[in-house]
Amino acid sequence: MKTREEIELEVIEELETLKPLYMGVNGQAVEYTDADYDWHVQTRTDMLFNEQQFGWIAKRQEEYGSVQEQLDMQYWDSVNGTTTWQDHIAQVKLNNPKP
Amino acid sequence: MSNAMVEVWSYEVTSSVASIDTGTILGATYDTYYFVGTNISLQNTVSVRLIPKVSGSAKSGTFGNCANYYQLAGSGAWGTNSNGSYSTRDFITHIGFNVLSETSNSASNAFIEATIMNSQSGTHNTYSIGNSIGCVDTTTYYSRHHLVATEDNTADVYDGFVIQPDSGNINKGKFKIYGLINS
Repeated sequence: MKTREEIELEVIEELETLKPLYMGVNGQAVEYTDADYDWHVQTRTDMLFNEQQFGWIAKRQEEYGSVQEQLDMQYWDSVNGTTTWQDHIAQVKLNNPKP
Repeated sequence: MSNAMVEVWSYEVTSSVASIDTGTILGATYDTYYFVGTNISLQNTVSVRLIPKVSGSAKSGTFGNCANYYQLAGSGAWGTNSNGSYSTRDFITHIGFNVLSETSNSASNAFIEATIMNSQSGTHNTYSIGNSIGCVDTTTYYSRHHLVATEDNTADVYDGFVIQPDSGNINKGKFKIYGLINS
């Protein structure tokens, strides 16, 4: 797992490949100021750090599927003696491990 | 009925930009502001963030909470994205969650909207509700409707916004902000 400082360094390196960035202001696209670039680094670092720390929660929520879909899996598991639902949940957890 | 809804800002993206700065266009004249974006296409398939400005500067760091739900139009199934205080970066954001890139779907012209309340109060937190649609999943061809409620857990007084995708450029779109209710 990366520290916030490590992520910030990666964002700064990435930014060099993206420059110049443009901001739409008063109907014009103007290049970012130094302050805008600094703000970009801070907000993107915050976003990537939060994704690293907590993104697995949202990804699991999405991949689990709806309650209806899971209940359907459980019904057919009970009818057929299979473990589709249990396997599905285990796979989602495996795909999106806690950091 | 006069002055029920007054346009205070607009911007049309005609050449790609990484973000859009509204300038300092919010003020005490209105209690509530309505933000709308139409025909939006992005470079990447990401969400669009509406980031508050305070004293002329866009906020950064963690300062809010977010409840975010989506619904696939084809199935009607609801899901959740980025809920809870951990997604504090997402204040008034994800209103265009997963707006597809132009390369993913050339017809992905998304619509996003948000109503922002209490932004001019120095004693109460700011709240917003937002919607988005037009986010077509290229695998299932479902449009994806997002509904998001957010709160800024500070009493900051806003004077504007920066509109920014999570990554990449905004290639196309018309954006407007209206003042809704006179103070």
